[in-house]
Amino acid sequence: MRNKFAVLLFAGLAAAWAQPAQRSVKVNFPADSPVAVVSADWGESRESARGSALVLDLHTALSLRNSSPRRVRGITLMVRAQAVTPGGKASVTVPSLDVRPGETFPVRIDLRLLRPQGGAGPLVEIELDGVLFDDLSFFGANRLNSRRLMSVWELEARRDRRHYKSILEARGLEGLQQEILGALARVADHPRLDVQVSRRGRATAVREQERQFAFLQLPDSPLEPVSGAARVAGSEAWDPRIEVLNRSSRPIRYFEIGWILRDREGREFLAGSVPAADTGLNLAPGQKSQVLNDATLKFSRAPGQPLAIEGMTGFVSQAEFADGQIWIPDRAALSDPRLRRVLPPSAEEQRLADLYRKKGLPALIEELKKF
Amino acid sequence: MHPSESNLALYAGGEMRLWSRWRVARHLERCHQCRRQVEEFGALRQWIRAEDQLPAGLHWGRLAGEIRANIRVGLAAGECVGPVPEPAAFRWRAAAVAMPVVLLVITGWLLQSWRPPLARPEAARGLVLTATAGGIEVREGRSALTLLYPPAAEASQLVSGDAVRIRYVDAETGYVTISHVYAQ
Repeated sequence: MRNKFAVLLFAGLAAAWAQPAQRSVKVNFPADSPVAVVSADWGESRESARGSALVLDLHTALSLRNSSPRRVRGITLMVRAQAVTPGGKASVTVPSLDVRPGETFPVRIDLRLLRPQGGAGPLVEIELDGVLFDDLSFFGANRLNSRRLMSVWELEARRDRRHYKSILEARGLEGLQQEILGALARVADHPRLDVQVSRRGRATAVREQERQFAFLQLPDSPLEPVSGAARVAGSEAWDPRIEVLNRSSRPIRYFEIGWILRDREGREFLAGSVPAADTGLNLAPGQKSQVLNDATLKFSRAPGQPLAIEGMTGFVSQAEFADGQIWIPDRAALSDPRLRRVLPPSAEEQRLADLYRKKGLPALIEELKKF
Repeated sequence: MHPSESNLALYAGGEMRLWSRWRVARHLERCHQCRRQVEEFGALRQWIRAEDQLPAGLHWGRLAGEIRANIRVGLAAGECVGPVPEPAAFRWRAAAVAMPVVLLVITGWLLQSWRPPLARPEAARGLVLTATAGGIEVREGRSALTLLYPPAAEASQLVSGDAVRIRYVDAETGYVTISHVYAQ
């Protein structure tokens, strides 16, 4: 009898402990999804009050199974908190995967919600936005343009694996080791910027200036940046306008311009990219188009250390043709000393460098042989 | 025997250990006087919490600057009225001595009641995306959704249009993870 009571008590306590996460999160995958949720571990998720606000820390590892007949190369999960930030959403993507049919793989989501107390219903909804397969086919709602994003990362991964394989063939183990050590150093040395993006308004009253973009021309790029400017005040930049010319023989439906900032000391940082409008673009060969963005960006090197923007450089970082084919810079273009200094290694290079750091050269070679 | 006042306050705040809490609860069942004191502590906590709320988006750096500037103005004003001409009558001398005190009181009152205009009225109302060492966040008013990443991870963050992105290698899974927050 006493044992039964203890078991019931334990079960009750366990249920009460698990309640905040399970009550607050809803995982929604479509019925015909090629990836199925096997389990969800809520780990150390907890709910606490902070003044009149409620703080919910959610740490989950979803275990997913590839139930399709193809290998999964990437997955994007959309995270929405409709009751907390109705206009905003988030996503977690895991690229550079190699999940065979029937295999399971984990996706970790660590998030924090802050909201006024009160309200009911699930706080967070996790939905499948897309799955990319090894033949570059795609499944999903694609509300966050995850098809294009994951395709770009997959093409970068293929490009970089080819590069490391060619290094191994040409320069042997020592050459591969030197190359991957270089990537590790670039991951560690990559200058980090804190950034704030808002749709309206500016945070400082410093006098604004119109600054012109300088451009890095990549030889095999299908687009040529012609002119560009943005308004700058102190550490803030807004209203970038960049004109590009389609110098390829095919129409282009999307492109992004990489945005490098220079501070007063002459240091350069990759701030991000200015994308073309998502819909409606059909840039014919020989025609020009302009990218615009209405967000205000504010940069700092660390909390309380605003970055004084002195100069800006742009370069074409990706383009998508009307037939769906995607162009990314090749390794030769990326070896430009200026780009090499500011661009972080690709997602795949970062993964391979981390693998080398943890398991050594044999594991890296084994990984390269898989593809 | 009644529980101590500090124990009653801890009980009212729900900060007692399980066993002590049970003992105090037992006592409260039969002691009207202690029960009333616990209710008072509870009401006081609620009042303090309600009074403790600060306006959202308070710019501490700017506020500190305003306070320093106002103190300098007050001190300068005090020095201006400090030296009183020798031949002045006694009653004027008294007024001059009192003036800095009056100015100090007025400055204090102004600091207390006047809130300097925040320079971000528009942005504070809309969605704001932030990438810091702790994670990337989408904030709307006093609510926020933050995607966290391990502090030890070497992460790179980028802005792309209306989204902020962060990329790192998850130490547990070994997978590259790319998180986004969007203001769409």
